[in-house]
Amino acid sequence: MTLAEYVKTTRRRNADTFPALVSQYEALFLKVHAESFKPVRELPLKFAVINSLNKRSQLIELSDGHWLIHDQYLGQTLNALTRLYFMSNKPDSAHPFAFRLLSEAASCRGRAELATYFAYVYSVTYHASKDSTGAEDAQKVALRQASVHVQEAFVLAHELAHLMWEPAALDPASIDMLLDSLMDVEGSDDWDEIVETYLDDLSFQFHGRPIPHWANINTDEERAQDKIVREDIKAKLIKDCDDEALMRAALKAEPRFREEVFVDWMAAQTCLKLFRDDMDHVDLALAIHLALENITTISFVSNFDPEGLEGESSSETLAVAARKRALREVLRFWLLEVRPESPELGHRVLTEANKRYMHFVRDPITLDALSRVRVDTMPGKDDLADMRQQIVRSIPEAIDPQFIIRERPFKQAAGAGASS
Amino acid sequence: MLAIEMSEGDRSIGEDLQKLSPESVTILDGRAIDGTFGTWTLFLSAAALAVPAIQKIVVALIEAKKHRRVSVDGCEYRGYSVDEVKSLMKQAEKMKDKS
Repeated sequence: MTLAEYVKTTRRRNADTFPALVSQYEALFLKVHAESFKPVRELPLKFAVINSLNKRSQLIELSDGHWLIHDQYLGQTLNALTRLYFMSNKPDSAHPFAFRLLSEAASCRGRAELATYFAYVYSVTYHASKDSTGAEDAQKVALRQASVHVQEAFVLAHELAHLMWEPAALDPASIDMLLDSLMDVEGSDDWDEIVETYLDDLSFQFHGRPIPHWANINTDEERAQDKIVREDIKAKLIKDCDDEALMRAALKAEPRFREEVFVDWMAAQTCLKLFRDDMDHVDLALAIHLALENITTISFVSNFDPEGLEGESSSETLAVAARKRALREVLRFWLLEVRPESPELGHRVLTEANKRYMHFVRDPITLDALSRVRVDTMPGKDDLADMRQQIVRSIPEAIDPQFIIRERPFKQAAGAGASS
Repeated sequence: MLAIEMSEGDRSIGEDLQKLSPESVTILDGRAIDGTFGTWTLFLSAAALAVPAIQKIVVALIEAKKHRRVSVDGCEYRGYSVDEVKSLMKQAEKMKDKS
């Protein structure tokens, strides 16, 4: 089987690759490969750039050797999510993005009617919320571009690092040590302080800015209620803590999870070495953090089954959350090493970045928007087919749902208050 | 060409298929960066799909529900019934692997 046959069978083509981008990716691949650990560096690898709606980079071994395939559209999607992360000032701004991802996932499954429906919802919700992300100045554009560059390097380094896992036959004890250091984070046992932080987080989510919880409590009635709420939260957190310890122990023994945490660690080390002299250290750590956040957001929505036809569950959610926490620990350790004068810096910036991502990107996309796509409210097959016919009759180019994604033609419907 | 991504199970089924038609059947290990990955994927060319013995084994594989998804011409199908997968096999067989 050739690479072309592999790509044609498994990938939904988006458009031609951009020659200028291909050159940039080739240069990035060479840098990442050269900076990888010795066994990977010495392995001859072929590199190809594709542009597919699957948005997936991948390492495969064909009869002519190992290929690292990088998906240009993954890069473009990381870029769009990163812009949301930096610029969004209200959670609703992220909703259209969920529908774009759903449309593209439907195209990948050969469901043209469904893809057209979600593309239409994307176009309408985009116009309804388009003013809610701010304009970027030159400095912010540069920060976003640098962040996306690092994120794509992380993707390539992650794929290459998988090559280390099998041939190196790594000592299980050293992997155990790595997992212990990244997952058994010494937490505070001051439950009142933990409850206060938890309530402050809720207040942040509610207001969209860091207003401490105590500022919301003003009357005697609120104070009495607050006391009860605190006791309830404390009991729940103690139980969650016990449950989480059991979950962590199970994950640490799971071979796929062990591999992914190891590979994330390796990819992070490669990126930190590669960019530490070119970027602000905090921006670099946050870019690596964003890489895994963005990839898992894309993956979550792309695997979402809006019609409940597939019977698959998202049992990987716990493992993904644990991987993200482990990667944040890698980055916190590194910031402690390069900025020893500010021991709390890593924890603070990564916690804030995680909160911002959750508030403006992850939850609006994976919880709020997807909760509007319920199996019982989805149009039936006949309605979807009728809708597609009507759209294509009035806009013939919309036979390709990506035309709707690119051109977003339904501005008037948004103005008329139409929505999903 | 038809790709069947397997979520679990014995690779020997794939290896048996390869013995029947070494030039037309490929097995690839695959993974995705999000950590969700099939343990192996079976690729069958149009020539392989025209062989009745191979068709029979593939149908048995689908009936045993050990697959995650089936891909043809860039589209991946999940949760398909055996009859629907048979129709995908016919579609892939007609494509004659033009790339």
